[in-house]
Amino acid sequence: MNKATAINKDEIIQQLLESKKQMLNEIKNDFATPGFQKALEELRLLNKKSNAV
Amino acid sequence: MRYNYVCWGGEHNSYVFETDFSVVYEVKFKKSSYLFRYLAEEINQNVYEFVIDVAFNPNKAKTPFDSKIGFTIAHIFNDFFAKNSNIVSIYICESSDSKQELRMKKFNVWFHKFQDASYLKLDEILIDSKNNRYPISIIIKNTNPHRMAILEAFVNITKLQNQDK
Repeated sequence: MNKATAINKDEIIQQLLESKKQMLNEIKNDFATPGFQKALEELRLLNKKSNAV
Repeated sequence: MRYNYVCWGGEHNSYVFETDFSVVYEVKFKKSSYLFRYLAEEINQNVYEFVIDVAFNPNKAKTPFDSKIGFTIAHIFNDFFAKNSNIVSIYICESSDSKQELRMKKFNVWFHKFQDASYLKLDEILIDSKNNRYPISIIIKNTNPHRMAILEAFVNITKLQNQDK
Protein backbone atom coordinates (compact mmCIF):
# COMPACT_ATOMS: atom_id res chain seq x y z
CA MET A 1 0.00 0.00 0.00
CA ASN A 2 1.24 3.45 -0.86
CA LYS A 3 2.01 5.21 2.40
CA ALA A 4 0.29 8.33 1.09
CA THR A 5 -3.08 6.55 0.97
CA ALA A 6 -3.09 6.48 4.76
CA ILE A 7 -3.59 10.26 4.72
CA ASN A 8 -7.20 11.35 5.03
CA LYS A 9 -7.92 14.04 2.44
CA ASP A 10 -10.57 15.82 4.54
CA GLU A 11 -8.18 15.83 7.46
CA ILE A 12 -5.49 17.57 5.39
CA ILE A 13 -7.95 20.17 4.07
CA GLN A 14 -9.27 20.82 7.57
CA GLN A 15 -5.74 21.20 8.93
CA LEU A 16 -4.86 23.65 6.16
CA LEU A 17 -8.02 25.70 6.70
CA GLU A 18 -7.65 25.66 10.48
CA SER A 19 -4.02 26.71 10.23
CA LYS A 20 -4.93 29.53 7.83
CA LYS A 21 -7.71 30.71 10.15
CA GLN A 22 -5.34 30.60 13.11
CA MET A 23 -2.72 32.66 11.27
CA LEU A 24 -5.31 35.25 10.20
CA ASN A 25 -6.53 35.51 13.81
CA GLU A 26 -2.97 35.93 14.98
CA ILE A 27 -2.51 38.81 12.55
CA LYS A 28 -5.63 40.49 13.97
CA ASN A 29 -4.19 40.16 17.49
CA ASP A 30 -0.50 40.78 16.74
CA PHE A 31 -0.93 44.51 16.25
CA ALA A 32 -1.38 45.18 19.97
CA THR A 33 1.60 43.07 21.06
CA PRO A 34 4.86 44.72 22.23
CA GLY A 35 6.89 42.83 19.59
CA PHE A 36 4.72 44.11 16.77
CA GLN A 37 4.66 47.68 18.10
CA LYS A 38 8.44 47.65 18.41
CA ALA A 39 8.72 46.45 14.82
CA LEU A 40 6.31 49.17 13.71
CA GLU A 41 8.40 51.80 15.50
CA GLU A 42 11.52 50.48 13.78
CA LEU A 43 9.69 50.52 10.45
CA ARG A 44 8.50 54.11 10.87
CA LEU A 45 12.03 55.18 11.77
CA LEU A 46 13.28 53.46 8.64
CA ASN A 47 10.59 55.24 6.60
CA LYS A 48 11.61 58.60 8.05
CA LYS A 49 15.24 57.94 7.15
CA SER A 50 14.24 56.89 3.62
CA ASN A 51 12.18 60.06 3.19
CA ALA A 52 15.04 62.19 4.48
CA VAL A 53 17.46 60.92 1.81
CA MET B 1 8.62 51.15 -6.04
CA ARG B 2 8.00 49.24 -2.85
CA TYR B 3 7.47 49.92 0.82
CA ASN B 4 10.11 49.41 3.48
CA TYR B 5 9.45 46.39 5.66
CA VAL B 6 10.74 44.93 8.90
CA CYS B 7 11.09 41.25 9.74
CA TRP B 8 10.17 41.03 13.40
CA GLY B 9 10.32 37.24 13.51
CA GLY B 10 7.96 36.09 16.21
CA GLU B 11 6.77 32.51 16.26
CA HIS B 12 5.91 32.48 12.56
CA ASN B 13 8.54 34.56 10.74
CA SER B 14 6.47 37.73 10.56
CA TYR B 15 7.15 40.70 8.35
CA VAL B 16 5.42 44.07 8.64
CA PHE B 17 5.01 47.05 6.30
CA GLU B 18 2.86 50.18 6.25
CA THR B 19 1.33 51.76 3.15
CA ASP B 20 1.02 55.43 2.18
CA PHE B 21 -2.61 55.12 3.35
CA SER B 22 -1.46 54.03 6.86
CA VAL B 23 -2.67 50.47 6.35
CA VAL B 24 -0.39 48.02 8.18
CA TYR B 25 0.11 44.61 6.58
CA GLU B 26 1.62 41.48 8.06
CA VAL B 27 3.10 38.56 6.15
CA LYS B 28 3.76 35.27 7.95
CA PHE B 29 5.52 32.02 7.13
CA LYS B 30 4.42 29.28 9.50
CA LYS B 31 6.15 25.91 9.68
CA SER B 32 3.90 23.14 8.44
CA SER B 33 4.87 19.53 9.05
CA TYR B 34 1.63 17.65 8.36
CA LEU B 35 1.25 18.15 4.61
CA PHE B 36 4.26 16.15 3.48
CA ARG B 37 4.66 13.98 6.54
CA TYR B 38 6.03 11.06 4.49
CA LEU B 39 8.80 13.06 2.89
CA ALA B 40 12.28 13.02 4.38
CA GLU B 41 12.77 15.22 7.44
CA GLU B 42 15.31 17.37 5.60
CA ILE B 43 12.52 18.34 3.15
CA ASN B 44 9.65 18.46 5.64
CA GLN B 45 11.44 20.83 7.99
CA ASN B 46 11.48 23.49 5.25
CA VAL B 47 7.72 23.50 4.52
CA TYR B 48 5.94 26.75 5.40
CA GLU B 49 2.40 28.05 5.01
CA PHE B 50 2.31 31.60 3.75
CA VAL B 51 -0.31 34.21 4.71
CA ILE B 52 -0.83 37.94 4.05
CA ASP B 53 -3.40 40.12 5.77
CA VAL B 54 -4.15 43.60 7.07
CA ALA B 55 -3.07 43.97 10.70
CA PHE B 56 -4.41 47.50 11.08
CA ASN B 57 -6.52 49.76 8.87
CA PRO B 58 -7.44 53.21 10.19
CA ASN B 59 -9.45 54.08 7.07
CA LYS B 60 -13.22 53.72 7.12
CA ALA B 61 -13.50 54.01 3.36
CA LYS B 62 -12.03 51.40 1.02
CA THR B 63 -8.41 52.26 0.23
CA PRO B 64 -7.51 52.79 -3.43
CA PHE B 65 -5.50 50.25 -5.44
CA ASP B 66 -1.88 50.35 -4.38
CA SER B 67 0.64 48.75 -6.76
CA LYS B 68 3.47 49.09 -4.21
CA ILE B 69 1.90 46.34 -2.08
CA GLY B 70 2.56 43.66 -4.72
CA PHE B 71 6.19 44.71 -5.13
CA THR B 72 6.65 44.72 -1.36
CA ILE B 73 5.23 41.23 -0.87
CA ALA B 74 7.42 39.92 -3.70
CA HIS B 75 10.46 41.47 -2.01
CA ILE B 76 9.52 39.90 1.34
CA PHE B 77 9.08 36.55 -0.40
CA ASN B 78 12.55 36.84 -1.92
CA ASP B 79 14.00 37.85 1.44
CA PHE B 80 12.55 34.77 3.13
CA PHE B 81 13.80 32.43 0.40
CA ALA B 82 17.23 34.08 0.55
CA LYS B 83 17.59 32.70 4.08
CA ASN B 84 17.12 29.16 2.81
CA SER B 85 16.72 28.38 -0.88
CA ASN B 86 15.21 24.95 -0.06
CA ILE B 87 12.07 26.46 1.45
CA VAL B 88 8.74 25.02 0.30
CA SER B 89 5.93 27.57 0.48
CA ILE B 90 2.26 26.59 0.54
CA TYR B 91 -0.56 29.03 -0.13
CA ILE B 92 -4.23 28.21 0.40
CA CYS B 93 -6.83 30.95 0.06
CA GLU B 94 -9.13 32.00 2.87
CA SER B 95 -12.47 30.32 2.19
CA SER B 96 -14.92 31.35 4.92
CA ASP B 97 -16.79 33.63 2.47
CA SER B 98 -16.54 31.21 -0.49
CA LYS B 99 -14.37 33.66 -2.47
CA GLN B 100 -11.30 31.41 -2.45
CA GLU B 101 -11.17 30.95 -6.25
CA LEU B 102 -11.26 34.72 -6.80
CA ARG B 103 -8.46 35.14 -4.26
CA MET B 104 -6.38 32.50 -6.00
CA LYS B 105 -6.81 34.30 -9.33
CA LYS B 106 -5.47 37.47 -7.69
CA PHE B 107 -2.61 35.53 -6.14
CA ASN B 108 -1.71 34.05 -9.53
CA VAL B 109 -1.75 37.48 -11.18
CA TRP B 110 0.53 38.75 -8.41
CA PHE B 111 2.92 35.81 -8.78
CA HIS B 112 3.28 36.10 -12.54
CA LYS B 113 3.71 39.86 -12.38
CA PHE B 114 6.25 40.07 -9.60
CA GLN B 115 8.27 36.87 -9.41
CA ASP B 116 11.35 36.12 -11.45
CA ALA B 117 12.10 32.87 -13.28
CA SER B 118 13.90 31.34 -10.32
CA TYR B 119 10.68 29.98 -8.80
CA LEU B 120 8.52 27.00 -9.64
CA LYS B 121 4.81 27.25 -8.84
CA LEU B 122 2.27 24.48 -9.11
CA ASP B 123 -1.47 24.96 -8.58
CA GLU B 124 -4.00 22.34 -7.61
CA ILE B 125 -7.56 22.25 -6.33
CA LEU B 126 -8.31 20.21 -3.23
CA ILE B 127 -11.88 18.91 -3.20
CA ASP B 128 -13.30 17.64 0.06
CA SER B 129 -15.93 14.95 0.53
CA LYS B 130 -18.68 17.61 0.39
CA ASN B 131 -17.41 18.75 -3.00
CA ASN B 132 -16.05 22.07 -1.71
CA ARG B 133 -13.14 23.33 -3.79
CA TYR B 134 -9.99 24.79 -2.24
CA PRO B 135 -7.33 26.16 -4.61
CA ILE B 136 -3.83 25.61 -3.27
CA SER B 137 -0.38 26.51 -4.60
CA ILE B 138 3.12 25.36 -3.87
CA ILE B 139 6.13 27.57 -4.60
CA ILE B 140 9.74 26.42 -4.50
CA LYS B 141 13.02 27.58 -5.98
CA ASN B 142 13.79 25.83 -9.25
CA THR B 143 17.20 24.98 -7.76
CA ASN B 144 15.65 22.98 -4.91
CA PRO B 145 17.44 19.61 -5.07
CA HIS B 146 14.28 17.80 -3.88
CA ARG B 147 11.91 19.51 -6.33
CA MET B 148 10.73 16.32 -8.05
CA ALA B 149 9.86 14.58 -4.77
CA ILE B 150 8.13 17.70 -3.45
CA LEU B 151 6.03 18.28 -6.56
CA GLU B 152 5.13 14.59 -6.75
CA ALA B 153 4.00 14.60 -3.11
CA PHE B 154 1.94 17.72 -3.79
CA VAL B 155 0.22 16.18 -6.82
CA ASN B 156 -0.40 12.98 -4.86
CA ILE B 157 -2.57 14.88 -2.39
CA THR B 158 -4.86 15.88 -5.25
CA LYS B 159 -4.88 12.33 -6.62
CA LEU B 160 -5.95 11.06 -3.22
CA GLN B 161 -9.08 13.10 -3.13
CA ASN B 162 -10.03 12.16 -6.69
CA GLN B 163 -9.66 8.49 -5.81
CA ASP B 164 -11.63 8.90 -2.60
CA LYS B 165 -14.55 10.77 -4.14
